[in-house]
Amino acid sequence: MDESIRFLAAALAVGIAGLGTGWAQSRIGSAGAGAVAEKPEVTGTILILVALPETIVILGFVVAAMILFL
Amino acid sequence: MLVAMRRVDIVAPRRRGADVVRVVHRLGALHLAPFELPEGLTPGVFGVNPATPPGTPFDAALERVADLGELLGPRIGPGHLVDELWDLDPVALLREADALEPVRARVAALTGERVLLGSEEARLGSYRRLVEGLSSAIGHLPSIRGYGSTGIVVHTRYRAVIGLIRDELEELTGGRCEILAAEMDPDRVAAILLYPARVAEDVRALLGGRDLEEVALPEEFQGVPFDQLGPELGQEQSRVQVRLATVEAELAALSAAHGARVAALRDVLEDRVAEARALHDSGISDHLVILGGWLPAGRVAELRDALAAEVGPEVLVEERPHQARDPRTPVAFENQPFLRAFEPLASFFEPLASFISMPRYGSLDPTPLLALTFPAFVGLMVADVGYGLLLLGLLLWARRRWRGEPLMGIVWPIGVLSAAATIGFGVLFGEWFGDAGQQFLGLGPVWLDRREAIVPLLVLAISIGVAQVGLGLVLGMVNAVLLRHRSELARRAALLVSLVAVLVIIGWLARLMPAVAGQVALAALLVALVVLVATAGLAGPIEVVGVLGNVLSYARLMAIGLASVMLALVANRLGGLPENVVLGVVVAAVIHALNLVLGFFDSSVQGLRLHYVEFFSKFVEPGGVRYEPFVSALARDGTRLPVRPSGGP
Repeated sequence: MDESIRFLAAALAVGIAGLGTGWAQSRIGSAGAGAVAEKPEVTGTILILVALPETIVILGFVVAAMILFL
Repeated sequence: MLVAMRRVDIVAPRRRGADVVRVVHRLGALHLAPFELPEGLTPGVFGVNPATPPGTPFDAALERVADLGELLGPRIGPGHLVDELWDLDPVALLREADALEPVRARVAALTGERVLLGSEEARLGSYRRLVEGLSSAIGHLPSIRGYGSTGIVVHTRYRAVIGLIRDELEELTGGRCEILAAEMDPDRVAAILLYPARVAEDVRALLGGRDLEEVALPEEFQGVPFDQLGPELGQEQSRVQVRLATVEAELAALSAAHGARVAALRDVLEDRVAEARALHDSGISDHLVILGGWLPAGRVAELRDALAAEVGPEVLVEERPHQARDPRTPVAFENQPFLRAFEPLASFFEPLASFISMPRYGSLDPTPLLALTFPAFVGLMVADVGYGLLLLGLLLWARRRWRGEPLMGIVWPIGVLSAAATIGFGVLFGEWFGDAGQQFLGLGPVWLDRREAIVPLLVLAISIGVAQVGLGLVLGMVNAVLLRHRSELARRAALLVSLVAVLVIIGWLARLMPAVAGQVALAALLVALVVLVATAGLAGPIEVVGVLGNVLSYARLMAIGLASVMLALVANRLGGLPENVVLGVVVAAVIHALNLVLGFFDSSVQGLRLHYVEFFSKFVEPGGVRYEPFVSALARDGTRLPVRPSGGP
């Protein structure tokens, strides 16, 4: 039982963080697509901005790893 | 590193102002600065140059020559012609522009005729296609005088509209009409409407607003019997094509004869206009003219020598005291050739000046650090010998395919270093297209197996984060000293102390460190928090959380690497499932190709992000102004006075 709860907790840590990242990226991505349409020279900038929220899921991953391995 | 700059004022007798500007322009080293009134002088003594209004005779000449250049086709003025024209006096230069007027008139007339002939040719062609499409039906049609005709083309899927038009036309003409329709091609149906000429206006109104492609018969063909229409249209179209070819040939001959000279003259006139503007923006009194700007420290003597040789000893070059903190000082990079490819990345975010941009003058250049760690990060994330070799092969192909392209000068060094790092880490982790090397060649990991060593790799990634964020804070302190920002120095030092203290406290709580160290760290953390509140307000302590978040963000080095190796394993497993070997190889190759593209793209974006957000934000001082020297067309062919894209000498 304990083992299964640990796995569930790890999955939730990554899963919910992933949802948060996806939501943030969807907002940045749609705004970024508009910006790129008007100013193609900001494409590189937008790529990096879209990558910014991935920290959330990375932190979720770190938490999941701590739950599973520590 | 960033090029050392000097702020100079060139003071000359007013009558020699134009000569000074010419010499400065020819040298191509000075980044012009708007005139500032020297201390102790009133605007009544010095002011903006009133003698040279911004509009000059060169503006009008440039407009005419540029128009002609556009019509003859874009090109760069050849160096020898630019040399020849650059030294002409204003009168002779304007005479050159005037001499091209007959050519401009002829080219404008020919270009206008080319446009008319082109549209005529297209109109004849479309009607001819329509007539040819209806040729079988037209053969049965008697020649009827007094009847008008209109051709229409509709998309095949809307051909039903022809039946509707037939009904309305019969009603309009009392049945004295005919519609012939035939397919022109699989997508289009052509139809010709025949009706008494007196109802032509009503027919036009009937067709109006139906979104039909209406093909009007040229006026000279109105009333021509349909059986003769096709050949006559063909003859007319041939005549137009012949004339069009003649016009094109004459334009090509004019371009060959005058294009190079026109382009060179345009470049030289642009230089004259720029010089007039530079002189207009200079400071001027009754007797003196002052031209100011920045140039690389190593070129001040060159400027002095050039002015002394070409204008004379009456020109003074005054060097202002060095001001490292002046934010208007332009920035130019000066790095080893292989580092230059990374310079554009170091100012990648220029459009977002608030985020990170060109480093400020007087601060540290992040380029060498980026060149060292960016390829290493990409290599650590992808870490596969097979993928590294494939990237190397693709780069070799691209280099051969786009040899000489400026973009390859950037992509090649970055790509090669990233591929080398990918191969190196691939050897350490024993990955050759995932576990294929291990399975078929027995090439195991030299250091770690990424599939199993999850925790050690996580610790490695976060350790890299600690090292890089810590280094960033140390460099930030150095920058604060260089730019004399005391509060920034204290803030960054407090953040560094906080980071180290938190790590020690974690070690103490995990019983890896003695209690004394933990207690000292706790005290240091409290002091650092007080300093942060003092320097950055109540938001200061929150920055500590931000720094810790930055460190944890480096976990992506391991997480993305793990995703990459797992996708490679999936490719190998799926490739091994089919009994057909060829199918298995194709499946594996497709997934490996996907992993290769995703792996390098994602790891590049993430690697840059780690640098921009986590690393550079700790020390790069944004807001630098790009060094853009006042360069003439003489230097644009890149052979005499090379000017780097970043603006460096």
